[in-house]
Amino acid sequence: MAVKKASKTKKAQMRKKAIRAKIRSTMKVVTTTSPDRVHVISHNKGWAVQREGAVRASKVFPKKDVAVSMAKSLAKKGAASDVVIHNKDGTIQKWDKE
Amino acid sequence: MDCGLEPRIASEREDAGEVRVIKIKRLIKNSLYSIHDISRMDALKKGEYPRFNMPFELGLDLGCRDFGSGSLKEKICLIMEREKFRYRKVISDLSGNDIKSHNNEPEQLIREVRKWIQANIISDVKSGTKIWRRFNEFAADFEETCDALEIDAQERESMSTVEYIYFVKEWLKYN
Repeated sequence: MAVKKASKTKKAQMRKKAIRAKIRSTMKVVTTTSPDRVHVISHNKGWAVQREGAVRASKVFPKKDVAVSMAKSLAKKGAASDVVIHNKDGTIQKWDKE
Repeated sequence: MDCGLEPRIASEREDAGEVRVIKIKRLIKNSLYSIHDISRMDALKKGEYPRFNMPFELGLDLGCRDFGSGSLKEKICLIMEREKFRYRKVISDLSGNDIKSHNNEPEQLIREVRKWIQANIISDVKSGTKIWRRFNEFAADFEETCDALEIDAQERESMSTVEYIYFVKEWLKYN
């Protein structure tokens, strides 16, 4: 009984290790900073249009829809590939990809 | 984590045979710093009972500092609430403590935690603006990674904190 339980635990640990290895390799590919990606994020003065990796926001607007329009116009002009619109808590509301 | 600290949680060791409160007590005893957010003392759904785990753990932590000896006396904690004086209505015994409010605004919460870390643990930390921006960038990379791994929205919602912390750790290695 104890041996069976131990092998079950070992299997679970191996499964966990395999999942983590997948996360590791995927994260490594995904996390490259992409300055072509523009984020619309919550800001203490409203909503900021922020290029990925940039120290300062491109512009801050009191209203979210205006910030989204500006980010989308950047993409239209070819100045951005992706527009990532965030919710107030930072999670993703919408992701417009090229 | 973006300030270089390692979060500890009771579920980090998946041993169902270990009583949860014992795990919590051990974590409290071994952690010099702690953050208690008591803003979620509400019922998750209408008609459900409110949840009091966080204030219970805060009580254990404050008791550990007061009744413990040696390094336990040096424990430092940050207590956070949703609105400035809401806690007075339910835990009036905390009236003498300096409780910070985040108004349910994640950005404000980050700024308060960062301020506390800077004052008590690490003087040279990133600005609150930078941490908030990086958090948003992480959220995008997290979503992209989950999509690539075929982790759907429902699975993301129910993901354990331990697993989520693992994603954050991996992201921080490259950012």
